[in-house]
Amino acid sequence: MNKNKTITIVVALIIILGIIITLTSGFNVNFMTKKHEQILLNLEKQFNVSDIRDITNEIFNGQEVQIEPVEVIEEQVMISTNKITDEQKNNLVKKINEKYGTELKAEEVKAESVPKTKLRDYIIPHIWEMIFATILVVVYECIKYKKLKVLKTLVQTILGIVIVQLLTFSIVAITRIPVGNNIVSIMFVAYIVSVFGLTTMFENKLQKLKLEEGKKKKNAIEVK
Amino acid sequence: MKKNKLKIITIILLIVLVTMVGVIGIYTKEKGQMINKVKDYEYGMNVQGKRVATLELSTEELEVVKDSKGNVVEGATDEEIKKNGYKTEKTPVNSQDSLTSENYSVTKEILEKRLNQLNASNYEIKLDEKTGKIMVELPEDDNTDNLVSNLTTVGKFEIIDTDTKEVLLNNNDIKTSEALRSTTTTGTSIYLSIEFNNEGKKKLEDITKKYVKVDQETSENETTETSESENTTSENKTTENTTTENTASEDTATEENTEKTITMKLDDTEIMSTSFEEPITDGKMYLTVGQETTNIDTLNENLKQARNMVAVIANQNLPLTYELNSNIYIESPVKDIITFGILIAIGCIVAVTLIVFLIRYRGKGLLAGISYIGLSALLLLIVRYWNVELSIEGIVSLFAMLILNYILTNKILKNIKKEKDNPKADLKHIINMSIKDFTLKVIPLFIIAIVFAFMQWSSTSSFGMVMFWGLTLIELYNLLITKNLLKYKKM
Repeated sequence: MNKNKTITIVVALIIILGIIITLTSGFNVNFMTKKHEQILLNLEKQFNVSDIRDITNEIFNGQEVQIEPVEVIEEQVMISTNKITDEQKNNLVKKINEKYGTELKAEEVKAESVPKTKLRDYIIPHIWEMIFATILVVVYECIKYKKLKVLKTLVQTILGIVIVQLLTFSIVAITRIPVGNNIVSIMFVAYIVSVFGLTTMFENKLQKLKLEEGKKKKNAIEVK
Repeated sequence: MKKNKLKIITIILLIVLVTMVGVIGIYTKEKGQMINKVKDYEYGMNVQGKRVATLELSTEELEVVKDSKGNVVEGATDEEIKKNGYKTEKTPVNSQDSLTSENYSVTKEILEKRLNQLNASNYEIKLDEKTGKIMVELPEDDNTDNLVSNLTTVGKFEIIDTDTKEVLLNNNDIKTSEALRSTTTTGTSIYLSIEFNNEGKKKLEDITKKYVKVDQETSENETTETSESENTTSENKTTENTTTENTASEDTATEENTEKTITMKLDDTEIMSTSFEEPITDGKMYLTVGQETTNIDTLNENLKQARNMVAVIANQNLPLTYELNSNIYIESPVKDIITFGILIAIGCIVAVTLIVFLIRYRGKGLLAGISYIGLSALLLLIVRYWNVELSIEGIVSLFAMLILNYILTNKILKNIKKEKDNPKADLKHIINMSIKDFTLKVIPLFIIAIVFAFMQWSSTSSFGMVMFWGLTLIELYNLLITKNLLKYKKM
């Protein structure tokens, strides 16, 4: 089995596995992208995120937590996590009151539910941008590498870009990398890698072709 | 030989200087404080912070007056209610039947369309399909408040008979809408253009025939305005040239007994009442927004107002009424550490590159490594001074450019090493050829960078801008600096 065949089989297997995992268990979406809960606390004074982090570590033991200062004066804090129970909320308010001397009341603090963001909402706006850029790239590749046959270059460029995207998403699904709004960056990097890789491949092929043509011409002159 | 060494030392000193400015900055003492004079980075929504607007379904109830037959009576006074025995009922603005996941999704789609139309550079809409709660995340800039104010507008556009309140035209009759400007020597006017679909076109023609001005003799004031419109606008615009509120109210005052007028309403709020001078047959209506002006602030305000109306009118109206529950600015948790984080990450990439080059290519590797450091620092400076908004995508693009520069530098060093034993080898030529070869391979990336840089979505434009400047810098820097550093060093 030659090298190309082996690569093709490995890529195909990764994509198939990626599709199966995506269909069965989806991507490992980070908790801020999934449906989660958040609490807004008014501390009425500036605070250190690390101090709040110490408190949340104690209360939301093992849960993923995000702490964000609210408004420019940063006297309010938004604490987000997967799920906030009443007990956790009461303890949180108690600890915050102890630490900052506030008089927050647990019954007045509401754990608000935050709806999920669909991954496709991140991806779809960028698909059109990529399609537009791809059309221009394909036109360029077909003109620049017309010696390598236009149709072949066209098909290879489009297929190459699509396969690299599928491969990337499959790797993301298989390796369970947490995804959220970073999915766009992953998609863009895969995109430029595929375009750069394809252009390098075409350029090398063209150089080889030119070299062969040069050799043929040289031989013809020598025969003459 | 000595001259060459001097050149190399000069270039290295230059790189050190750029690196210090790029990484550390230039500090001066101002009011007892050390202030960095080098421009700060501009970060995007996913790095800097965002505005979060929470929209909840309205629980408001409307009072509806009905007659004995159950028909809705509009504008009935308390006296009339008593006298005619009308009943007052309270109905929720969002009926129970309308609270469906389908309507929630439609609302989300309409909000997306509105935000796109209002040139929102980035946004995220979270929808709870069970409760209908919507959270909209927007970048914090001058346009944010305007965007938020458009989220809860239902967008119910109606043209009604002023007297009978009969709905003559509504959103379903509109094909498209746009904000137009028209400039003359006296100033600029902003118009809201509404184009109706086939059905609406027919209705509009009928309405403009029926609700026609009875008295063609208009006041002096009105004539002036008409002539201004004729000067400034196209034929279509002049056909409907008396639609400002002032003239409309004057008309009603002088001709209230003879003239039938229409009233335009947006979300049940009256925009204007008017009548028509002649029938509109092309299905296009032009409404002046504000007054003709030469003041740029007033003009921008008029334009903003017109665009807001376009965003609302051009799309369907929201199937549900929402209320703005909260509107807060949330800072990104990574905001304070991101600059430091970028520098650490770049430092690691540079250190690894330097070690790899040093091991593989010895002396030349060291020089190429130093050159690499200079490029990284220069790229950071360009990003800052070219006001490139760094979003997560932009930062990723920054690292991608460093990797591309590694590929090029490594290629140059590899080609030099290959020709090590060739006494006739021309270093300058080898470096030039390596850069030329690389350039041919990155032309499609330049295409992508330019396309992305002009996109509305800030994450895409950030990625594109960094890529464009990164690629340009890689080309020029290696041609000017790396080549000059390497060509003097013996193979």
